[in-house]
Amino acid sequence: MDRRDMMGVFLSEVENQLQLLEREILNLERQGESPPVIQSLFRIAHTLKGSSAAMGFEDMKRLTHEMENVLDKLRKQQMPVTPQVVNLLLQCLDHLHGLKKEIEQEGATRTNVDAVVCQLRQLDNRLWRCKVRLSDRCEMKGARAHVILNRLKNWASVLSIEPDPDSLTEEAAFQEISFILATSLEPGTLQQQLRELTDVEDAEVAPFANDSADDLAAPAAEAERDATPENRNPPGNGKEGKKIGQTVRVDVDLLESIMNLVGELVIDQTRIVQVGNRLRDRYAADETLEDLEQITNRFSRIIGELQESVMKTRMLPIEHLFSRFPRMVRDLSRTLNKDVHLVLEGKETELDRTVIEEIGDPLIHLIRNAIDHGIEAPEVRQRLGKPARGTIRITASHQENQVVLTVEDDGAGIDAQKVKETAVARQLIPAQNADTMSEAELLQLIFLPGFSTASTVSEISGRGVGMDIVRNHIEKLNGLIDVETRLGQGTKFTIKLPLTLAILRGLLIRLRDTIYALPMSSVVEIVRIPKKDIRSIKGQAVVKIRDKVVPLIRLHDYFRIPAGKTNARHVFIVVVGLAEKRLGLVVDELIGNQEIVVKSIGSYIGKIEGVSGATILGDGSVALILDVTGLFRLADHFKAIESGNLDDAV
Amino acid sequence: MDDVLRPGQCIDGLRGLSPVKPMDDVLRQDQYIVIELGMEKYALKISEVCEIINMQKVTAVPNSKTFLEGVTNIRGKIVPIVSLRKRFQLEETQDAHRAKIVVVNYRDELIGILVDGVNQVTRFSAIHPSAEVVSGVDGSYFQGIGQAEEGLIGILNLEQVLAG
Repeated sequence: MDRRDMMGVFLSEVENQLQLLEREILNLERQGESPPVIQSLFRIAHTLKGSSAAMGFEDMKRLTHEMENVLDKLRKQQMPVTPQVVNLLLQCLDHLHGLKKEIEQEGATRTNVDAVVCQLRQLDNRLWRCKVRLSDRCEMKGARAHVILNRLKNWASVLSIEPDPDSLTEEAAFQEISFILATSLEPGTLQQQLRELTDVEDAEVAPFANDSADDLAAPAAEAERDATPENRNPPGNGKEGKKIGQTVRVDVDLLESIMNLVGELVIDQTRIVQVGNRLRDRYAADETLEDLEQITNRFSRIIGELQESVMKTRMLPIEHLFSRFPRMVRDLSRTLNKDVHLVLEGKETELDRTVIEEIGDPLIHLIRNAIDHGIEAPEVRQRLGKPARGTIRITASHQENQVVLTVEDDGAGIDAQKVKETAVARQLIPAQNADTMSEAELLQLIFLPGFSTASTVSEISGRGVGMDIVRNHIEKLNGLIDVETRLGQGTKFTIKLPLTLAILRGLLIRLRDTIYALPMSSVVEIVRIPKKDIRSIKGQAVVKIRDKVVPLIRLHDYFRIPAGKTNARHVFIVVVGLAEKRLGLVVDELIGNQEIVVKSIGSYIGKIEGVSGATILGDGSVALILDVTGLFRLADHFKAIESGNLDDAV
Repeated sequence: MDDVLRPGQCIDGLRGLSPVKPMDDVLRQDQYIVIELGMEKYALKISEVCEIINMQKVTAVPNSKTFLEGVTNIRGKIVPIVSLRKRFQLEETQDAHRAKIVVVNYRDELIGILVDGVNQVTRFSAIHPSAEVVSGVDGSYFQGIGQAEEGLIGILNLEQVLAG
């Protein structure tokens, strides 16, 4: 194993340990002096120390060594767990993240850890006031004072000294020097040590009053921080990099290209099957065809498995994302003076890594919103008869071919009336439309660009660019977001995402002579109805399916496909759904469903409403993939044009 | 795929049809592919062309650029196809069997230009600035008029032809 391999192992171990560390520090804060937590923290520090020493990262070793010392004292109950300790440990964590990132990117460390190390050392120091009386025979008292000071510095940090030895002249008449010291030494030992010094007649050690200690320690710490300015912003803080896998490190580009190649194979495999079928129609009696069939079956199976394995390599447990939240929630709730309990469920749920990367920001935004606007201040909650501590619950689970994420809080909920007023006031919708809207429709308004209910713009969330960006992000991933809320009881956002972006199950349909693909996940049902059942309500074609009225659209009109002459008495209707909305698409033919490899149509063509990408069919031709969200928008848009008020179209 | 002509092949193949005469050393570097559109001929700098393929199935893309013919599959890549006829607002042709797709690289993307045919590779003895209107087409689509033995040929300005 060369150094590069070792480095890979080292970094993934550090990553692993740092995640553990973060979790345990937060546990420590919650549970206080819990021996198993302290033990586990000690072990983590110890592991990190060992591996960083082995790799020769001195600063990391030094820092983890000091952490280990502090944790050891905690373990032996020589020191209490105070908020100060927790904060300092978190500071260490930030530094370690910073160091790790530097090692990853530059192969060496830059961050100065002196200040943190120093703080760690002083953590359990007690303050003492020492009075040293010099003997009368002492000739050069100034010099003597310096000597004593230097000696003291070996055992303790000297916070203040009176009189100042630098200002002393040789002749100055003073007998006594008093120091204020921070040290972990026992007072007896300290006194002993002092008395043994030459020219010292007597030494007294007395505890220094604790309340004034902060005043003294603060400037000292300040001075130290000033000396190492880069320490104020340890790198790796705040926006931390996207988390990477734990054991094998593979270039993302390589994964992408493997995925593409497998995609090609899937397409060619479909072609082989088709050609095989055609051959069998032609030479039914030929025995070789049976062999061909066997081979193609085997081929299909292997490609299927290959595809599945490659997909798996792209999957990561959502824990990678979830692990960022506890710290964020802690910091945020402190800033906002709220008491929030975070519950994470289903962190083992696996998602495509690109999905994990993309979904991070929207989730963070939802959490911030929940803390900032959702959860009320503790006093308010108590007044309302709720527990003072608010709860945010984030869950992840698989449902069929989808991943469902929820972000739920037990806060104030969203007031639909307020939403309406805001939307009207901001001229996002005309007032007369607003009055006819249902509560569910009103709630959807929060996703409009430029909407924000908080009247004050806070630093944490909301400049009115929030929810629409969240929704855009999710729709970009072919996902859906939905909101449920109950006033005074809380809000729940549900996000549904495809398992992967690269391959999806598609329903192939034909409009005239062009084939299109619809993501199977948004198809609700397929029906064949007699043409005479299509009714028209206010110019909108509708059909009644099991007592529900579903609006119908002919994509031919939207896509300017000339209508063909059909004498058919029946039509096929594909009902697609977006949240609780339904839309029936009139199609000319159903071709079937199959796995399709999603490809981009590129930036030259750009965004086309209702089209999310393209795929290559078995015969090598290209089919466009329809995007259901876009289709709903198209339908709304056309309705608006037809009813003559284009301005209202969203 | 044997129906695909790579640039090298293409030039060699066509060189037989139209022997190249020695020219000035400076001009020697600039070779042009002459394409056909109805009765007209236009030229594209050979360095701008990635490959030339036969016409193949193109899938229409709704609600897009007016001159976009659609998209096609070139070795697993989705490539937009622009119709030069539509771009120059000429009528559609019925005679499609000679049609070729000239694939160019435009802003780091492959784009196919649908033409009636690819004629030859040539060099120009002189290049004149283009007029306001070149044989009934907006002059801004051209970067100059090349003078060849067989006459004057408008040299396409890819940036203008594909933009918009």
